Amino acid sequence: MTTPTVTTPTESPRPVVPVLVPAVDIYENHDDVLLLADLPGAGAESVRLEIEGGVLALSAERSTGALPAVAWKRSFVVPPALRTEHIAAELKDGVLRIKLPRAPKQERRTIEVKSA
Amino acid sequence: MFTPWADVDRTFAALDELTRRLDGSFPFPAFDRALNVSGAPPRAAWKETPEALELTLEVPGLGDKDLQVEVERGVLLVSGKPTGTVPERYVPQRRERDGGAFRHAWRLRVPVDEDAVTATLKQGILTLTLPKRAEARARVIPVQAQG
Repeated sequence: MTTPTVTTPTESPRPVVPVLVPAVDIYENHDDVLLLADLPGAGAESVRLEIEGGVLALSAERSTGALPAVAWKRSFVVPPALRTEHIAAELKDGVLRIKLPRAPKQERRTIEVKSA
Repeated sequence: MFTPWADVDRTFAALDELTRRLDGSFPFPAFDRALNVSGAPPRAAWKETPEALELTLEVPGLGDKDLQVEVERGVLLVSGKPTGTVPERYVPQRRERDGGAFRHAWRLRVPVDEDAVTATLKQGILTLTLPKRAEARARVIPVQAQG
């Protein structure tokens, strides 16, 4: 007699959660551009900011608490005038604050044309 | 992947969203006017335990000084008023976040101990715990077996 094999259904490590687009405010001044995104209940460890090819990708998750679990995803095209290597971000009261400093203005240069 | 509950959860989430929208579309004008209700209600979830009612609200960007919670005669009133919505020395470019003030009221279905209500704020989530009054709590009646 053969023993029946018991197959355990493989539990998905991450349950299916709805993906939302976070509401954002964008502010600017002479020095930098400030982006505020609402991520209520998101843990700082779940927030991911990636920059590639001039696109800033934001993703975050809320997995604990009484409110339903959600994921947030949104991408932004970053103008070349901003210095992406100096982005600073902090999460406070469920709002992510991303600061993108402007590159210093390039001095106007005149290029001399030499006659051959 | 077999997740039979995911569909159920999604259905209930959709129903919650529908209820929320319907609540917004058909308010109780007299009730709302009497309590001076205004602004879009924040996303909320109710939970009931044998001892208490729990209300969880999304209030991103609001600090403890920006929020006010009142319980009076079976009505819970929560109001929020964001301070400094535009950061100093900045010009707004795009505004999607609902930084507006709100005041929302909920009728409580069970009597609660109004002096024992607690409110905690963490990561933009406000959690209110409203302990039920003794007469509203579920009682466990022990069953005694007899010979």
